[in-house]
Amino acid sequence: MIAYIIRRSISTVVLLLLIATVVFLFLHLLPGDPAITILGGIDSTPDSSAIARVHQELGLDRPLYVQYVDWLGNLARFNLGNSFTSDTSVGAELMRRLPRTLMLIIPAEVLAIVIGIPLGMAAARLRRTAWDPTISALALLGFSTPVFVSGLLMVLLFSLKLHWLPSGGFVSPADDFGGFLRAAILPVITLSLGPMATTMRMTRSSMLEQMGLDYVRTARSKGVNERIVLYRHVLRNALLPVVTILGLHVGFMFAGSVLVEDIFNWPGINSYLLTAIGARDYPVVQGIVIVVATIFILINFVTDLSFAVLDPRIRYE
Amino acid sequence: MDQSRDVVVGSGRVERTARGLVGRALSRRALLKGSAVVGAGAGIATLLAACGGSTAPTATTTSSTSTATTGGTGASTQTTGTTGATPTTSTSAPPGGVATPGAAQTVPAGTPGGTLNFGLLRDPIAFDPHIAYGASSASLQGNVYDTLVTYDQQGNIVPSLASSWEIQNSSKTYVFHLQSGVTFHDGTALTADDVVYTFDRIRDSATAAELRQELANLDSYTATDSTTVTVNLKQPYSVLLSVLASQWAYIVSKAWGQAGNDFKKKMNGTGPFKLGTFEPQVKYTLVKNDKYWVPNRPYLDQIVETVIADDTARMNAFKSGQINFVEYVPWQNMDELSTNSADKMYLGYDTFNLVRLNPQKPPLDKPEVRQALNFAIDRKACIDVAFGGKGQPITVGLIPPGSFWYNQQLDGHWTYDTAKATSLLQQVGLKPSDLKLSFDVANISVHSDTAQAVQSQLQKWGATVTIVQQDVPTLTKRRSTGDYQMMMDGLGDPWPDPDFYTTYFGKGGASYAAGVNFDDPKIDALLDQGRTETDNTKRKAIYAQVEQQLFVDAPFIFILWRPQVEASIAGMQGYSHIPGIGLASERFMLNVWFKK
Amino acid sequence: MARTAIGDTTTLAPPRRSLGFSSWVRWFYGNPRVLLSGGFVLLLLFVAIAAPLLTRSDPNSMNATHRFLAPGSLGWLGTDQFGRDVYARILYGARLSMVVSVSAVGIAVILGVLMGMAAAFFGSPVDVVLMRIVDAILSFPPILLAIFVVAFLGSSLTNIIIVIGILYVPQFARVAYSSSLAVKENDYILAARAVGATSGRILVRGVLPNIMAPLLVQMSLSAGTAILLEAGLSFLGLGPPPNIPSWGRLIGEASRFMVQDPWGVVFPSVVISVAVLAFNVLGDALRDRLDPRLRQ
Repeated sequence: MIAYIIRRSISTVVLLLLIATVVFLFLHLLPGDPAITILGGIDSTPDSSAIARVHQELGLDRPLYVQYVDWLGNLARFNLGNSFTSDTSVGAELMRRLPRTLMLIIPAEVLAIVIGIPLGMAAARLRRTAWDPTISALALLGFSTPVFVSGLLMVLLFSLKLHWLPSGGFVSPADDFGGFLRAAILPVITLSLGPMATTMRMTRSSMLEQMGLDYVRTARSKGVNERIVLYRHVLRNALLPVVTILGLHVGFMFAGSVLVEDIFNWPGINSYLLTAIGARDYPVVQGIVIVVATIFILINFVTDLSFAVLDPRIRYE
Repeated sequence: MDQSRDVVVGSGRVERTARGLVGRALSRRALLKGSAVVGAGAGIATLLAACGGSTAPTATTTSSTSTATTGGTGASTQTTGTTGATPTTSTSAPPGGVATPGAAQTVPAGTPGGTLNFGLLRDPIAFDPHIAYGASSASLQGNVYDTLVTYDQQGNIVPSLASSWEIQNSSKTYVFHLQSGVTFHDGTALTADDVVYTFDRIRDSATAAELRQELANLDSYTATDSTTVTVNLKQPYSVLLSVLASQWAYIVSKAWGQAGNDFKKKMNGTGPFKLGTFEPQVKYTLVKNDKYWVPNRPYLDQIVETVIADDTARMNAFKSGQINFVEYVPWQNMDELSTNSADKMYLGYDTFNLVRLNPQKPPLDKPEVRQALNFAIDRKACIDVAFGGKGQPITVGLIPPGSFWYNQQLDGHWTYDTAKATSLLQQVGLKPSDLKLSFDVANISVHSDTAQAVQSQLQKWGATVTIVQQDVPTLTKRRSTGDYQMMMDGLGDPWPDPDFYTTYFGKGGASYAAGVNFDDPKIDALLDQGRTETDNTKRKAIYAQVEQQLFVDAPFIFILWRPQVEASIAGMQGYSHIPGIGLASERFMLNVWFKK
Repeated sequence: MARTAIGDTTTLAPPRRSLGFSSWVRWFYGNPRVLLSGGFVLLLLFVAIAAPLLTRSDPNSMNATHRFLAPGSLGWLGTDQFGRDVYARILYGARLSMVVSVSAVGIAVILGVLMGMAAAFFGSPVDVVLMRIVDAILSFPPILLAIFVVAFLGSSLTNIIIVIGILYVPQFARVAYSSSLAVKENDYILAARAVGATSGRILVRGVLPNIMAPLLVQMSLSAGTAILLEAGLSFLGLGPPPNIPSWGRLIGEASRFMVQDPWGVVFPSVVISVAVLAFNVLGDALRDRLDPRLRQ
């Protein structure tokens, strides 16, 4: 296990280097010029001498490989550089933005698990009753409605019609915890609907699969209590694919949070990324990609390790 | 004729407000009367003193300047002198023409206090007061900085940091007298050196200032004494005051700038508000400047500007009460707002959508083809489908209908006439189906909606048009290198003087609207003439010639004036969408207050 | 399952399977949920192919005087903000959505399953390399990937398929990987190995059928979510060009006019939901059919 972890860590570094290179290269080849943004963007047409001067200030006049080596060197020292447009430290800004996105993703994932798994189990257990199709249909509804439709509908109902909750915006929990909760409710629910449905469906089908297996039949025929069969045997085995899906969720939560942040004007890491791409703010885009990639890789790592815990047949040498 | 420009819509009814009544040819007597009633507002002593003098009195100069520059501002029926004599005008507030930039003549004294929660479309990117970052930045820099001269709510040029000025030497010398008692937010006093430093900074090519071309017309400028700046011109430049009143001519502090402070990251102005805490791309707070040089201004305690890029999200924030003022109201929300008595809407048709036609890319190198494309567009239908009928067709050029400068005799030149379009093509041996055009469009809904309408029109005519959708930086890059055939764009006039044509079509026009590959010596000569001519009637005729030459050149497909709308809660007072100034009206939040 | 006789490699595949054509037909008609969901998927495919035959309206033809018409008055489902026929746009949108969804999932399944199975079966170092590539895709922000592809290749149908296809590889690779890992340890695979069956044969005959169930579930989910992803990209302005109708763009555009024209959001949303639903129900049914362990 230890050897596996070490090997995996080395490959992680290689992987990050690969991602860093790809992002750096693609970003610098992307049409558009950060200098134009700094000099006014769509509303201006600066002349070439002004552009050249900005290039010089930002070090963009150097050969690409020099910029690349320079950036990697800083990266190795955990220095993500400064934003081209606001000149603030990318690292510091990430420390401000990332937690906000996590404030959406983590509660949404918790909600998805806390509601999704029991619902899936219920549907599997009540397979022959009307409950299964009802729960499944509800899950499918949540799952098949685009995030921006469910988000907009919730805004329409809860903030514009009923005036219960704000339609968007972020309130720092440190400033006003109640205000933060009110602001977070709609985006968190919107974000959790899809993952909740997939969790429910995965749990259900996985449970059904396990329940059809010989060992369950054996256990049942031996007269083992149905509850023990379900919770001790079926659930444990059924959770393996569910865990896979949860790992994947994080990726899709990040993707989904792009739309949620957009609809609810939530200044998290995705809106930071979108603005940065729109400004061709290279250090910011590169920094976000590296940090997000690191998080994903760690989560996948943990997911893989949890296989070993949940499924004794899998052993990492 | 009257295009309902700048109409305040509230309580479900349309009020045509009194603005526009202050004459562009406001007589000296009327002005004196107005100021006399008010008594000693800031700068008024100077004004009266100057009026009493024998040489070219400031007031006269001011009013004649107004004549020269306000033509571009909207309204149609102007009764000279009426307002000055109207009793309601003057009792409580200083007339806009004297002390309070942007103040309406009819605005009663406001209630101090309150927070303006402002929903911005776009992040201002940076704070440099001399770079054009787009309209949203006007609300930020415009309330922190002041200009030498400014606009009142009718769009007339009025004193600001320069409390008065004289025009001498056959309009080749301007002498500006600075307002006394003005301090920057860091506490240093405003002097003539700061103005000179500002001009230097704008003219320095390294700044990439919006007005670098315009201020290149200055021959010399000196601080005659600590409160006087003398500007010498190579030749008369009738646009100077408009340029100095624009939102890229903010006066900055020399000492502060020379101390190495970065104008892009910090702000130190003389304006009614100071920059408070901010988070780039998210939220900016402006706090009241207690030492502002205009008495009793600003009313507001603070302005909180939140960036909400998504149209629906921004409007939802307004409708749910999280913000009380919102810009860039999409047209689809206009009816809803105008029928709701809890809201006020501020409307102007002062932004226009156009298609750039690259004259370097065949077949668009032939003027006939560019003209034909202009005749192949049903502008009314474009407005109907892309803006729900809320817009006005451009049938001449870029001077808004209703402006003094609008050339009525040219009205209706660009019409929908496919037969004419086809015959124009035949003159160069083409037919509509020969046109295979690529059409670059940014992923901005007001652009892509119009582009789809244009595409549909041209396809109906027989041409093949392929829309290429791009993100904004890609499009901007291609625009700046001329790497496009047709390109959708939306612009606004920089100031209410037809010399703005220079920024679009002048040779080497480096300003924000410059078409990269466009150059016509005839137009250049006419624009030169228009700039140096001081007589307005003659100037107007010159710009008519410019527009006639543009009929031949057809560098754009001129499409429509789109509605530019702000909205506030009904209790907000003191804001108006100033004709000819448009969205830059957001510079004047000093007059805004909330009814309790 | 573990009862396969040692050495009997012909019975590598899980036993008890009668998948003749006639049995499929019987299954299809004998099962209302299969009939409904499968029928709807077939209908979608038919609509996608035959859209021009089903409506005479041009989905892009604008008409200023017929904007926001209510359903029924002109065109079955009314008109949008450009006065375009919503019915026609939904039909043509089906074409785009089906092409995007089927092709993107196709790409993802082929690449993902190959990678996942190979990684599980060959072990180190193949699994390290392959699964790290999967991780790389997974850890790359989808929006950035979409922007890169659109910026370099332009915004077109093919490029949207490429983007979504690449984005979905990890799902299949990981499902295939984890399922194959489990299957790999089964007696019959060990037995097959012991008697020297080739890796390819074991993979195709032994592993693939046994990981089919989770893959099919994933495919059914992905076919639906691919439509949703395309919708999301269109909503952010990163989808196909504006003159190609897609369900995502329909909703995205109509959502701006929810006050004037709620129907504009409702119809395409319902269509998307039903399409995703159909794919899911069909996937479930297929799983039940293919996975003998559930048949009782």
